[in-house]
Parts: sequence; structure tokens; C-alpha cells
Amino acid sequence: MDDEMVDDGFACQSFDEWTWDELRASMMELSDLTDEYAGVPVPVEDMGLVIAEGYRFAEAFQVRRETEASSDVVVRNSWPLRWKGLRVGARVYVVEHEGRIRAHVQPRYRSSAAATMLVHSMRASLAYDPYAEQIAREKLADMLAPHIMAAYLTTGAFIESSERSGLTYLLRMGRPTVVLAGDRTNPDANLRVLTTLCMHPIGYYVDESGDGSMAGAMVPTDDVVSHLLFIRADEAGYWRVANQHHPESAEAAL
Amino acid sequence: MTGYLDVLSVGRGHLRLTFDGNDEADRERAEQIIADMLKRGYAIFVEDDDGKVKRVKRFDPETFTYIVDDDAAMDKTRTCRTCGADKPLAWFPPRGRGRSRDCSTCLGATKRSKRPTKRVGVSRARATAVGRSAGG
Repeated sequence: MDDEMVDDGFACQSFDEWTWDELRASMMELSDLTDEYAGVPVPVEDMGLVIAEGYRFAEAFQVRRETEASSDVVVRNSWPLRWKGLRVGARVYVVEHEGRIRAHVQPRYRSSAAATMLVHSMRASLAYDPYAEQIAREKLADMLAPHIMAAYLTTGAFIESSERSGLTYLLRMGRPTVVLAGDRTNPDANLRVLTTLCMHPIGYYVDESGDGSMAGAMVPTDDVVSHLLFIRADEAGYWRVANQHHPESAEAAL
Repeated sequence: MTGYLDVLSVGRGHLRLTFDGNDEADRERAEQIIADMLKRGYAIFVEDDDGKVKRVKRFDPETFTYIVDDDAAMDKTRTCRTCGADKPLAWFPPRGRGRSRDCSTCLGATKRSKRPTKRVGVSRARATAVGRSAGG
């Protein structure tokens, strides 16, 4: 079994021919045959996957970033527009068209962007097996006190404090983890939001136009388990591998 | 006793691999899988004897153990005879049967002593492996 099996179309040719159960089963069969312990992400029609560097089948999952309006328009650079250090809900694009370079400001309303990401996440959730989510919740229940697990089941979030750093983490299902910090003299008082941390093992889904989602390749509670393990055992490593999103941005989901 | 390694896996929640240290074939399989995971960049977390979760730094196939940081050794402190500062015990280099009464800095060392480690047997460990992060 080698990567040729993937290149030759081991994955389905048409999504209409497969049920979701059949597709998931095929991906699990592929992971068993190739000893890919973390599994193979399930493709979703019209969505791409951003895959971890070094993952064996990364080339099989192509991600298309910003779609170009026409072949004559080339995006040379883009960045979020900021005012006094805060994002103002717009993005600047520097484009080249017919030999001329222009700057264009694209408004990006935070609430619309957040809602769009949520819809993309719901589309990606078609790849999830509810039974796998149940198994992940049982794993999480082994790691938490019963009342904290109850908070997670009923609200989708729970709090974990780090004695090492003094930071407080608000872990949420299907959303980035919120990092809270108190003042130096009383770490538990006057908590303020420092940032949000987003990390998905193996990969996460994006829309075909390149817009992100909050859906990882694994079920949401598996992402929460991975965040919790890093916080408890390798907090510095957690901050290294996670992406930070400004609390005011749509990606923070606050 | 049989230890296990839960690998967070797409589509399954997690994949549980059990290892019996008394079974030679099982032990060889475990050595291959764990070494392969660490080589591929998986993060393996194991619960130590104190019940705390630690990240596996290395795997020793000779002794069939995970090697993790020994935080307890870092918690023990000693006062340096020269500078008078309280420092972790690990910062006092070994001397004879015990440790020096002067910290490594006062002794002129340019490098800090390596962080102390301890071993956790694979055959009795409860471990979880997480694949490489794609960010988010």
C-alpha cells in the first residue's frame, strides 16, 4: 500500500455515489492499511483541507486559497486593515491587473464573517461521525471532574487554570480556546481576555474560496482533548503550535 | 498489567492500542509504533505516578519506558553556599554521593544543568497521542 493508491483515486470520484457512512468507512480502511494512526480526513464536497506539515497524505488534499476574479487579476499581497492596532473589519488587497497595480479595501463585517465561518463549520460537520464524538466525550470525561464535564455537556465549554503560568483557559467545543489573565497580585481577579488559541491536529476545513471554518478534521471534542493535554503537560508547546486570533476578530468567535 | 496508548483519530474518536510488556511480539509492535509516532511528530502525553500528565520527551526501547520531565526534582530547592539564592536541586551538579553545595552558576558553568527526567513504563502507562497540529 503506498501513496499511489491515493493518487489513483482510492477516494471517491463523485460524492453522489457514496453515503457519508461509506466515505468514512473508506477513510478508516485507508488509515488501517497505511498505519496512519491519526486517521485520514474525510473530504467534503466544495471544501478544502489545510493539512499539518509533514502529514503523509498532505498532497492529496489540495487547498485553493483566494479565488481570482479573472485570470488577469493577480493578488500581490493582502493584510487586515488596522486602526490603532485593532482590526476594523476590512482587508486590504494589492492587485495587479493589465500591468497596473492598485490597492483595494474590501469591507469585512465581523458578524457576517463569524456567521459565515459557522456555516462553513456546519458544512464540514457532515464528515463527523456522532459515535466518534461520543467516544471523544468519554475520553474527556476521564480527564475532568464530573461537575466540570457536566458544564461542558450543557454549555459546550469549561475552564482550566494553569498553576505554572497563572493563566486561565476557557476551552470551547468547536471554537478557539480563550486565554484569560488576571493582574499579577491577584491572578483570579479582574480577568481580561489576552487572546484566543486555535489548534487542530492533522487538519481543518476551509471553504473552496479560502475562507476558514472552525471545524477540524477530528470531531470537536477530540480537539478539546488535545488542547487540554497540551495545557496540562506542555503549555509552552501549546503556544508554539497554536494560532493566535485577536479577541475582536471573527475567527475568535467571541 | 497492560498499559494503553490512545491515539486521537479521525472518524473514531480515538484508537486504543494496548501493550503487554510480557509478550515479546506485543513489545516489538509497541516499540515500532511509538518510535514511528515520535519520529512523525506526534505528541505523546502520559500520566505519571503522581497522576500528573507529562509530555513524552523520548522513548527508550531498551527499558521499554517513556522518558518525561521530573517536575518534582525541580520543585526541591537548596540554598547556594556562595550566592545565597534558593535554586532547584537540579542546578547543583552531582558531587560524590550527593550534590555540590554551590550552584552551577557559581561554579562557573556556562550551561545550565539538564532538566531532570524520570521513566514511566510503557506496559503500565496510560498515554494519549496527538497528531501534528495544522494550526487553525
